Amino acid sequence: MRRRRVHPRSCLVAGILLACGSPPPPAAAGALGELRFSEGFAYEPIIQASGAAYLRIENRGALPDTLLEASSPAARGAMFHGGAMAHLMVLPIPAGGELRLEPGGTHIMFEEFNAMPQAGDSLAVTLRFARAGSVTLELPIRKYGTP
Amino acid sequence: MRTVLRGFAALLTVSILSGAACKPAAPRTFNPEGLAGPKIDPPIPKPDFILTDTDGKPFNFRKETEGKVALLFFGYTHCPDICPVHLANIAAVLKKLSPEVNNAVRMVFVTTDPRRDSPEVIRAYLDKFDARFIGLHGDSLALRGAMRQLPVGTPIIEPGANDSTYTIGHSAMVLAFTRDNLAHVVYPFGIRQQDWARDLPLLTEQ
Repeated sequence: MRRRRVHPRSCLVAGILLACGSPPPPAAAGALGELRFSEGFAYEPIIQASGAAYLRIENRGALPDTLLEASSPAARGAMFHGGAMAHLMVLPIPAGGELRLEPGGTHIMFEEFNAMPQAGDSLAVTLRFARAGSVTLELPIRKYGTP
Repeated sequence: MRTVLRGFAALLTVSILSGAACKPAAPRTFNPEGLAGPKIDPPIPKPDFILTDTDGKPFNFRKETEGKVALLFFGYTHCPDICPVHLANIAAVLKKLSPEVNNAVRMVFVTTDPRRDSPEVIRAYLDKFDARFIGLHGDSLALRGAMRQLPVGTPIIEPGANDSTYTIGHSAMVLAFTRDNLAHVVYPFGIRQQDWARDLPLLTEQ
């Protein structure tokens, strides 16, 4: 496995998720107001019609927030899904708590990519929150089956 | 009443033949020692179904996987989360295992989305992982007939943004049938490549 040099601080930049091309697997982190993002990544889709992205959102504030919407210029649509593919309209993030989007659980599902995202590149994903506003994160793209 | 009884008798015969009901002292004993996959007790009998493979030919699951370790997974190609993770992990591990183990294992993917997953679509999808993976297709009646023999539930259709973007809730388990035509272990989501790498050779030795 090839390793690139990483400066951990470069991973946490307010408002922007940077891909830390890091010890595998690459993941993104960032912040928006009281929200902290980490472990963000997307999978290189197998088919043009659907793909998934994940991240962890920590709410350090005293008030709850809600993830209302996700979108990407690379895909025609995005929705939230629970573990058994149940469609979820919005995702709450309790005050002092966290929302974990992870494989096999709740995730962002993209529909109809305009161009197929490739492993090694990143996927720009905009998240819109009820309280904190919007943030665009660059999620590194991994291949399925990479440990 | 007579029909019901006859139906019951047929069911009983099938159960006995398939070893489902009453064969506690099976001659071959399964050794779960060292396996990462959770053990399931009682074991699940290998289902009896015929679906269509990606060449358009009938595929008799029991016959075609006789004497092999059959990994059975129900999923669909538009699934971005659980299905490709399982398939990619199994493909990656098989590439690292011996030709003997590879020859003794059959990975069978059954679509729970016969409307969108034509045999051609399934073939193209599976080829992205491993061209040897077997893809099966059937109408919803045939599919339900196969699924109801197993603890995998039935597919739940979740509507999407429009008529063509629905998603399907389905079981996240890969069932592993050994040569005794029973699944003694199952592989839920979260199973890692190192678990498959340890288990597949052990399963082929059973």
